[in-house]
Amino acid sequence: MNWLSMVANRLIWFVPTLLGLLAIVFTLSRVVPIDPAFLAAGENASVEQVQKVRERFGFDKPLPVQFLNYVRDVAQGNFGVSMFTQQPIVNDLATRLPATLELTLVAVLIAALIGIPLGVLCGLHRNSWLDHVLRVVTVSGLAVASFWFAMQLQFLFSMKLGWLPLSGRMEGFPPEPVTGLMVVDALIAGDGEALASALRHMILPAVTLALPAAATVVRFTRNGVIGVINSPSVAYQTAMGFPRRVIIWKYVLRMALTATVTQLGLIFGILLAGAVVVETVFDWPGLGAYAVRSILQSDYNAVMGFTLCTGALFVFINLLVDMLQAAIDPRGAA
Amino acid sequence: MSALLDISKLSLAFRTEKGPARVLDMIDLAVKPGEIVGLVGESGCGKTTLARAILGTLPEGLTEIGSGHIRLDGVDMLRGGKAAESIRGRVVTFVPQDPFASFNPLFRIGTQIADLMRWKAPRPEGRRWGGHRRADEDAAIAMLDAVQLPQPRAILAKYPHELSGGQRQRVMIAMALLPQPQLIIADEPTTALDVTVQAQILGLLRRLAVERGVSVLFTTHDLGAAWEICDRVVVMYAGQTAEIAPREAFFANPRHPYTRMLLDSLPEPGRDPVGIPGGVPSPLTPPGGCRFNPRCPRVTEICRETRPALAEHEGGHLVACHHPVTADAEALYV
Ligand SMILES: Nc1ncnc2c1ncn2[C@@H]1O[C@H](COP(=O)(O)OP(=O)(O)O)[C@@H](O)[C@H]1O
Ligand code: SF4
Ligand SMILES: [Mg+2]
Repeated sequence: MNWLSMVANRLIWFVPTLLGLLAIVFTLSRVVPIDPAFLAAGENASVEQVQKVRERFGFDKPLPVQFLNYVRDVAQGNFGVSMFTQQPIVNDLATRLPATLELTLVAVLIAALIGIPLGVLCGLHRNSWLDHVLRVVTVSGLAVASFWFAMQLQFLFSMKLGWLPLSGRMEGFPPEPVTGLMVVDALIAGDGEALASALRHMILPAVTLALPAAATVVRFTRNGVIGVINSPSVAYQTAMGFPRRVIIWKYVLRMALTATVTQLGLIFGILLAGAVVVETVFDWPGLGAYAVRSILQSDYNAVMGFTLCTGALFVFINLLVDMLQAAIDPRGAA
Repeated sequence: MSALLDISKLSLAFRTEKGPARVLDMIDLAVKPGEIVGLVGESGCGKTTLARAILGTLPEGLTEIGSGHIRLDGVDMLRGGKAAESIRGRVVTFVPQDPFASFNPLFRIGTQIADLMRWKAPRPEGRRWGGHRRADEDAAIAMLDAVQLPQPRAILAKYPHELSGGQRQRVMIAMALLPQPQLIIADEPTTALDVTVQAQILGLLRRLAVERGVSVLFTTHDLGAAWEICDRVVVMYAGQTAEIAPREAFFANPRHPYTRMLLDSLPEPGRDPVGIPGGVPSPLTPPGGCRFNPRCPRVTEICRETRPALAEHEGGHLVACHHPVTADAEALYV
């Protein structure tokens, strides 16, 4: 299969996948034993008022009709109104999504920059002291709870040393929003001060998010390199007298990194979900913090909107990963 | 004629968790220039291990050399190191058993051939760099043509998965010939292929080797394949040399009981094949003396105690057996 037909194939599946996601989110929301109309009408509402709300939101209609209405609304970009702020959910999501994307992207970048070289080194020097040390560090690194780690970082670098801000995303006026990514917007605006502030705010939450991911990347890359070194193709090249450095730096690395790139895409998706904890601790105005607040307030439409948004993002990232995978591996995506 | 490859009294064990696996036991073998030698033995008897020993690619740190030497064009291949690496791919080349896994799937056939030639092809002017690309490409195309691959230029641009197994093995043979070696080691080169292409590939290998005066050490578990292409046959049993004979003498007059039973077990019209009862012993717990003794109908006390030495019977027919089959002692069972 060539690349274009692969992409077309994945794109065709994109829509049904999203519909499936909608169905799941919708079903879950109706299974919850809370009457949404009751919530929306407020605690002191009379029976008639609750009934009015129920009719206004269409909660009195049969479920299939409700679902179709829901799909139609979502397709029109209407995720409903927050039952607390009375703001359209879409606006909330649109302002918060870039914050989460920026944080997660930087975290993936850090994880790759740390994880890939260390993983390659461990794979090439298997059972060396570096390999042993990193095995202990990565295993324990994966075991540490991220909120605990986040608080340690805050304590050390903000409260004790005072080098970095404790929380938030920016001091002073943010740059003119273009992409919603603060660092990029500051660059576009040529605002050095905003850029410095954005970067300084970014470091602690991004590192918190990145380190467990880096541990995964190290282990994955290491095992990938070892797997390729022990593969028949390397045995063949060795038997044919290819210089060791050519085998390693050209052939083995390309194989191992192709697998790692796919892994990075998946990690990106996992970090989007993992951002909930980190955003809450660092008061980062992203989707994760929004979700926590919405759940605590039983803001029903907001939770649905968040779930849908991250779900769609996850599906979309998988699509991108497949396309990338197919582009760098001549055998195409399996 | 002096030997190109000379193996004498080679004993070798792999370190395993269950103790040393004594895979090769006092192997003697020689290959003369231009000669095609078949190394025949059941699966697990040590053919691949012997091939790797000759190439100098045994797993470092896991291999214990008990005794003996391997000299290839005067170089001691058991010492490994730089000398062995420079011999590999130049004096000796390799055709692997599995042409599917032995290519790197991410690089074009042309790239993999170009890298081989860049490091291993003979350079008449003694220069290693520059100005060779065109000449290399022409030589590669001519060689792909010689192994009867249609449209060789198109093959160079293909990825391994775009070729059939037979085509890939033809490319492997081309790569084995390109550095103009003196010896090709072909380790069960047709085992992974369809029966219909096996004979073609063997015929091709023999013809090209004879035309160019290249020696071939061809391992197989298939006596029929040895009959097809070999000048001389060496039979191995459980890591010991059993019998060495010119092709005609070998098939007409097998002297070792194991060889006799192997030939008798070939299907032939008008005769029921005689199987060999019992199984090949594990190299972890090999029987003492002649390793065939638990399965041998002619066994006596001395067979269990003393390893029979290779002794010459007539015209280069060597047998390692205390009680070989001869004209006076024709019956297999004594
Ligand atoms: N690296 C290794 N460690 C331990 N045992 C090995 C290793 N490689 C091969 N062996 C053992 O050596 C014996 C011969 O294997 P091999 O040379 O692959 O035989 P063949 O190629 O004739 O089938 C087998 O019993 C196999 O299990
Ligand atoms: S007769 Fe003795 S030495 Fe000869 S094959 Fe049988 S067991 Fe081995
Ligand atoms: Mg083998």
